Amino acid sequence: MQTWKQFNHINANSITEAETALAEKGAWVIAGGTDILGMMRFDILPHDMYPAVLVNLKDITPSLDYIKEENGMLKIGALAKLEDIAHNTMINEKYKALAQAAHRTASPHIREMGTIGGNICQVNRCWYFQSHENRFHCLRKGGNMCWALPGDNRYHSIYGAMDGCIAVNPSDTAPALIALNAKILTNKRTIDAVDFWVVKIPGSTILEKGEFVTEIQVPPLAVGAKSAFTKLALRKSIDFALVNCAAVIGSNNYRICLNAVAPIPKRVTASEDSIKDKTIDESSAEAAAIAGINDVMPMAAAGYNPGNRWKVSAAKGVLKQTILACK
Amino acid sequence: MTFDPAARQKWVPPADSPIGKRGLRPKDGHDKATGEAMYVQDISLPRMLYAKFLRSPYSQADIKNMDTSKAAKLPGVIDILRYDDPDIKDIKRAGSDPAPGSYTIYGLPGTADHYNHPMGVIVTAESEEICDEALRLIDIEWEEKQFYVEPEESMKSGAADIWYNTLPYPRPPGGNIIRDDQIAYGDTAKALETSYKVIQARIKREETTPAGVEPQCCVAYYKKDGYLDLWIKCQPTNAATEMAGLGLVDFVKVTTRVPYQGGWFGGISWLHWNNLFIYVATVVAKRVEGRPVKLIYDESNFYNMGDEYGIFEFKIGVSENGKINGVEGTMIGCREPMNKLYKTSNIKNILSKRIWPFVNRNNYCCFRHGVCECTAIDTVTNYVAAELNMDPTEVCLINDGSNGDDWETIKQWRIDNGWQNPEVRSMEEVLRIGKAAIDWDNKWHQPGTLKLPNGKMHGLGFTHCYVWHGVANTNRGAGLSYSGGVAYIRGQFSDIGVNAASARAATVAAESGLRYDDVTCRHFESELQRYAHSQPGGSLGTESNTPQMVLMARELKKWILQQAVTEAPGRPGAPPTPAAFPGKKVNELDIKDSYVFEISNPTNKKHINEVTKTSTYHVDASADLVPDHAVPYKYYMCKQAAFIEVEVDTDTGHVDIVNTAIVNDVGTVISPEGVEGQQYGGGTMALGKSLTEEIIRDPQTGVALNANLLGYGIFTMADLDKPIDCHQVETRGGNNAYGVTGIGESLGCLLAALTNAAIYNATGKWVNHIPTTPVRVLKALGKG
Repeated sequence: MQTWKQFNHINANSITEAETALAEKGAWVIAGGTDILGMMRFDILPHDMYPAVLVNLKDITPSLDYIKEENGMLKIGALAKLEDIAHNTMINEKYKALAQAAHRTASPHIREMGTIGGNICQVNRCWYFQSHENRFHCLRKGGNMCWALPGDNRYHSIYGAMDGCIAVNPSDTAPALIALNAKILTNKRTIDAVDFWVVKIPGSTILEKGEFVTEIQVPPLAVGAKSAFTKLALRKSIDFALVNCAAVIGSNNYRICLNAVAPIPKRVTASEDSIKDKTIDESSAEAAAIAGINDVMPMAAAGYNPGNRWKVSAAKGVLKQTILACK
Repeated sequence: MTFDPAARQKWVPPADSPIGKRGLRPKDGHDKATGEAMYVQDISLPRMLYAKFLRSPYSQADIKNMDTSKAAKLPGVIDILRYDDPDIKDIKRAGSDPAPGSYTIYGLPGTADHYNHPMGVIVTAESEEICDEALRLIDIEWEEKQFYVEPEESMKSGAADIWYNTLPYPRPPGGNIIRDDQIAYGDTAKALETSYKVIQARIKREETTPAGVEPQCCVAYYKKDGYLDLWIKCQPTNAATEMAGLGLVDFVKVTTRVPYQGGWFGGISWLHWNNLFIYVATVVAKRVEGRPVKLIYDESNFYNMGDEYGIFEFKIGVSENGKINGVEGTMIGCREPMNKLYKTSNIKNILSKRIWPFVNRNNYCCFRHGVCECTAIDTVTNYVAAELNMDPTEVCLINDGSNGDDWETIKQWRIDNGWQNPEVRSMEEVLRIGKAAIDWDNKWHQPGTLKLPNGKMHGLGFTHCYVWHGVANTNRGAGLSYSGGVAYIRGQFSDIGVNAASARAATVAAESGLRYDDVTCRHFESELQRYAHSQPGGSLGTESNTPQMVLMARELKKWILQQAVTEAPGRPGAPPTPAAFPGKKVNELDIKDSYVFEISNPTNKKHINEVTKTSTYHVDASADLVPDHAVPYKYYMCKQAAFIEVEVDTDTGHVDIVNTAIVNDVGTVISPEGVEGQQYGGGTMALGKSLTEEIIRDPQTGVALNANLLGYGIFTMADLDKPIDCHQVETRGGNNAYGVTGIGESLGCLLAALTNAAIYNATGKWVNHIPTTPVRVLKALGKG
């Protein structure tokens, strides 16, 4: 069914107000709304998970949409628009991987509304999870099976399951933040980016009830280090990644992260070890890329399901291109 | 009025007229730019009700029991129509395109034949929300049955029957095969036997869908006096006639309005199925007599399947020089694949076979009708080129012709029949322009031989076809009225975004001498469908209706000029009004830019308002046209070609389309912007079918997994590195008025398999599974 169920909408004017509102049963945050509104409109979640209250963070003052540098640290408010991040001069100069990731997210229209906080908190895009009217009541919605395992899993994890689920994390900014060694600040604590994502029902982050992202902090890159982001998608105009990758390489910094290949972003330490102290060229990048896919467990083809062995080659290709882009 | 159909081909557009002129204001521009354009979804009437279908969660299932009592008690629910209600249970339409009579579509069946099948029950309520809530309250006991979403499974011996309630006649032997038939030209078996080489190819095309932005919708208002008002989203506008045939409402009591039609990304907004939707809306409206009802689908309107879905197998017999002696083509799917190859070539021996099995996917839809046939031409041309190490454009030219005859034969026929520009060979012109546009002669190379500095493999793809031709529909026509200096083209048609109104207005203005801005086209209504144009535009509409426009405009011009030289009688007791050009004869006058002027003294001119004063004029072109349907065209001589340049990343399987050139010989261009819109729009849509679009189904349930506008990869212009380079050729070689031919649908089909050939040129490997997504490219390269 395509019409909305009833829900309450509360405008929070401060973080404290937001915390109070989020204490209500069934309360979710809304920022840009580009993820959550679709989920509600198309009845993706079972009825007992459907948000009863949306707590709007956009009215919080002082606003959480800032982008600034303080004492050399990049600080981005959770409500900063992806389009603003993509075109910010400072981010393009000093944190290129993040600008590129933001720029390749979705389409210009969505980037004008979507926030970085929302991008890192979005739920997975597995087509079984995202089925309208909860047609497939899967593990991540409280069901008892992962439908993708026996189903069509061509776009799913090549690094196996996590808690029984093989849906991938779809965020473009997530691998960039991990590669840049970012920290994610919430209204309760500070979390290293690499620890932020988990497999939950139905979410994809470590956030607890009443907790929401307020700021992202990115430390300065070492002098001489370079960063890059690469994305493979079916359509470059709008689609979620089939594979994406971010890397920071140079001056003893080696952080490489794949995403859309596993249930949570995958830091490929094998690739980092391979490229460490080497001059970046075709050969070293190829070797590092091969190292990064050493531990894959792709889904085999079965009947008319093509499986996702193709994604191993694609991941290797994207890894290699990202490493070369840090040259 | 009468005319000679052969003569109309020789009509020449008036010089210095709106025909072919750029910069004319589109007739739909104001409405669409300001948001005033009214679509069926926008219709809101006092006390209007809403009605919605149940949609099946299963791929093949029967309703065993259905309890609607809780839904009926919900406040705001006005009516519940069950599948077994006498009002609806026999409402059906036999035949679905493209094989009328092949299977039946019921208005509200009790059996679901595919996931999301609208069936079972319709709830009518005060709001859409109440409809949805009521549908949730209905308890249904389903009996799930065996389903097949793959034709190879459905066709197997011993396969369970599917779509078992939908045939109007006993199921043919072979279970799930609807049709197993063929069309034959010449002696293909012998041609293959005697060929230098027989080349074999097999291609699979996946299911595509129109993915409409405006869901199917109909507003039906059945009044207490038995009159019915309809607002329909449907390409053919003869709803009233069809419903009269079903005994639902007398024809004379129906008023049909056709607002603007929301985009279907090239899908045709018609079908027997769409007509059925209107019938069902009427049934619902009759039950709630006295209140308008809006029957609607939900936003994710992915209920139809493109008729190009299927598996193609070819055997191509060739000579050493690239001459194709014969082709046997089989489609496991709903169409014969080779009809257009015959129409566009000199190949005399063609056997076109179709094996059409039921599958539990959506209802087949004529969606950019002709993708199958263009796939066949694309495959045959490029496979021959590959096997013989030839340039595919040379293969095209060697085999160029029409209906089995070669160019020399056709040329002589054109000369003998007084054709315009008889010696201008369309395919040569098209190839010359297209090859130059993409720098083909410098860039084309043998397959898999050019690696670019960026590491990707470079490739070029080429394909061709004739440009579709329509005919003048005799049972549909137009009227032209004139009053107060303005000419009104009367004729209902549904505008699906092709802006046919501008082309028609340009023709009337050109032939009548009126300014383009003084011609208006009001196509939303027509009393009793007295005037109903052919399909809205593209391949059939503009071409089909051009003769009517020309003839009516000429009659109007004659009348205006006669008015100019004739004294008008005064009112009783008053003296007559002198003629605007006293003492002159009609042949001494002409009309330009809405001024009547003396040919030998152009400064002697008067505005048509001064000439016609308060007189009005009406003419129609409905009844006098020669029935062209009975006379097929001798040849299809206007050709088109498409060229793409790609870069293939052999690590990721990604294909970048870096350059696209499209060349269309439309005979005569009436509206350059209209043609261009079809070129870059249709071209983009077709590239999507080739590269990104497919419905993917869960193998365990048959449920469509990506049936939404985000998951279903509709290609956009933003996905192309450069805008499509569009070229228009005018050889006057079409069969219709001015030598014109169609454009839209043919473009949407032409490029629909082209990335396959381009990837082959880049990598030396055939993907042969459309769309050529990274999954399939890598598999073809041995990496998947």
